[in-house]
Amino acid sequence: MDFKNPMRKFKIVFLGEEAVGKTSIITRFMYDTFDSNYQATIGIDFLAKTMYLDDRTVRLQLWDTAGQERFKALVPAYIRDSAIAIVVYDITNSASFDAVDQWIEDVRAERGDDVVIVLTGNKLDLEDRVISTEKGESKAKELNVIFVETSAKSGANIKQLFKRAVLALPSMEIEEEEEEENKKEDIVQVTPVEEEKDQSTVCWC
Amino acid sequence: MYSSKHNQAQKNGWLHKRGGRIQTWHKRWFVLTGDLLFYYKSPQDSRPTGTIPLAGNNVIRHQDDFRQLHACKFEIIAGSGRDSITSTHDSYMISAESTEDADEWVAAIKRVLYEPYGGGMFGRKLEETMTVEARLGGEYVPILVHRCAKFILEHGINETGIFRLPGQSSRVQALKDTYDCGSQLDISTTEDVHTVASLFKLYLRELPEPVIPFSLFNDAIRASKEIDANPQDGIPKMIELLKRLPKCNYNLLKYICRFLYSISQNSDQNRMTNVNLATVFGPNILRPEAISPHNIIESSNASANFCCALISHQREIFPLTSDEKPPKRLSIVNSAEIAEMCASSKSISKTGGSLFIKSTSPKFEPRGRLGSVPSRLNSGSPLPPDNKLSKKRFNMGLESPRQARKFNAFSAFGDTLEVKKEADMRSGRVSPLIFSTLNDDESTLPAHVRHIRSNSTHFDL
Repeated sequence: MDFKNPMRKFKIVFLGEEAVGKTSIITRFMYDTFDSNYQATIGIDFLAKTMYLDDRTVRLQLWDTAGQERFKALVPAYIRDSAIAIVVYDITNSASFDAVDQWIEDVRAERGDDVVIVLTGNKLDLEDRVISTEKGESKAKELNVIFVETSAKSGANIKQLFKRAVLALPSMEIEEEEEEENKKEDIVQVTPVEEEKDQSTVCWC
Repeated sequence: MYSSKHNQAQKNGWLHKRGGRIQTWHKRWFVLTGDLLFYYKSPQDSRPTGTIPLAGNNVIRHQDDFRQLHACKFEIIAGSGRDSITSTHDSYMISAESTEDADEWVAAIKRVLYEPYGGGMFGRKLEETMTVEARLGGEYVPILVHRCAKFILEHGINETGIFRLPGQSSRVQALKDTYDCGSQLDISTTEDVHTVASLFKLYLRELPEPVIPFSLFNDAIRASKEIDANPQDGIPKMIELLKRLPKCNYNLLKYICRFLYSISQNSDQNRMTNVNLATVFGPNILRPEAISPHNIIESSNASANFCCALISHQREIFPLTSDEKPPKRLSIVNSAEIAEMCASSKSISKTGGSLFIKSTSPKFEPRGRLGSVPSRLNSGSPLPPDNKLSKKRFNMGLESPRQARKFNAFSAFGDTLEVKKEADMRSGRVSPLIFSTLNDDESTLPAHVRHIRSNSTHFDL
């Protein structure tokens, strides 16, 4: 497990409501293009890209999910072994912003704090913005996640998005600490379990 | 006596109930029969420990909180004008083992509470819904489906990403609750179209079995592949397959396909092509019984393909039946008349380049005193009356390409006619326009009209 190892892989999942631009962000990052076709993603797509960052080389696996309600039930399975979750909303669509809490909650439920979460407000190029930068920032602060605003169409901030996410991954020092942690795990800890308060001997029905 | 009730029960199972005076939790066997909810210490007991009368009361589903021992709770509360449900309980707090179980119980109780008013339809078998609604004047499809479709056609046909963009989830839930309580009201015109679209999809998704039953999943996928490979051979096979659907499922599927087709006809505005609509709608009408991460991609591709084939070929797959075929009519109006209609009609709304004219005014009916078009073309008949299942679409063309301005008009499901314009329609020049239903066979049109059609570049509604 070494950042300098070019084979080090990280799974990145993209989450967010329909039509916020998850696929477009990935396409911009992967191929530096923007496809103006309006096309809903089916199920889940998978792409991989190697990113060179200062002295590090990381292999990113990008998982693009369909935002449709139908697939929400399956998202936990995809989040499970992810290192980075990019939760996208559309700055011109308040419903997509309101849904952010639920997406982040889903990620936390599955991965706790072992995951880098980036809240991404996309479609900076559009003029009819309804979610201000401040609103996005304060949401990110409240949920303790990284915040970026991007435009997949113009390409603005797309590289920064990935750079910030990767740089926030646990560094080598933390990994050493983790090894220490692992050693501690050999000791079995016994914590008292709260007793059920069901006093079924008394019935008042 | 009570044991026989267990057999007739709408639903039974283990739940936890919180005590009335002393609020401790007890595991009880619950049996829902008629409008009474009985609970027993064990399923073998002949006498219930208690009875909860449901009539006139309400049920609320509390937010799940998995930090608590009793995480998935619902509560039966006294209806308006009452202080308590029974002498021992002001309300009954009940907890289920899982979110799904709690949801099922609440749905079952809501059915008891609100069915007399036409509510409790979410999560209910389509066949049952249709039986219940038949008594309330329902027709071919669930009332909710028709309301949503009508609303979307009236307010959202040109909305970018209709059915793809999500609605506000709190509003969707609120609307669902309103309908579940048996509201017979139309959807408020101030409602966001995406909320209504989400509600539409939610209803379909919550059906215990999708519109295409699980047993036909594989056959349906196979049939849609055959259409992809060779429509001529595939379509008759699809028609055969769909004959195996229960009548109410067939009607609903037909309705949805006709409806989605009319949405896709405006894809230059709403960007929802057949493929896009099929992608977001497919999994709501066709899915395998068990979805896992392993089969999801395959099955969602398959349901999107199936749905796409149905939308694209809806005219061949669902032949018009006598009850939905609008009488053949051809009528003419000119732009002066439209302007007049606009001026006299009570309800006109203008959005971008479109004018929406509510056909409340009799002036809307095209009449036969029109400019340069020969009178034999003019049957003078009014627009067809509102026929819920008929797709009423009107092509509108100009007499000659020289005068060509792009007009599209349609009246779909409701009584609204939309006139879209690309060029200025109020230029004062009188250009005859021709209305005809899309269902009209081209060859039966008078030669003059056919000539106009072929000369016109914009009959591609």
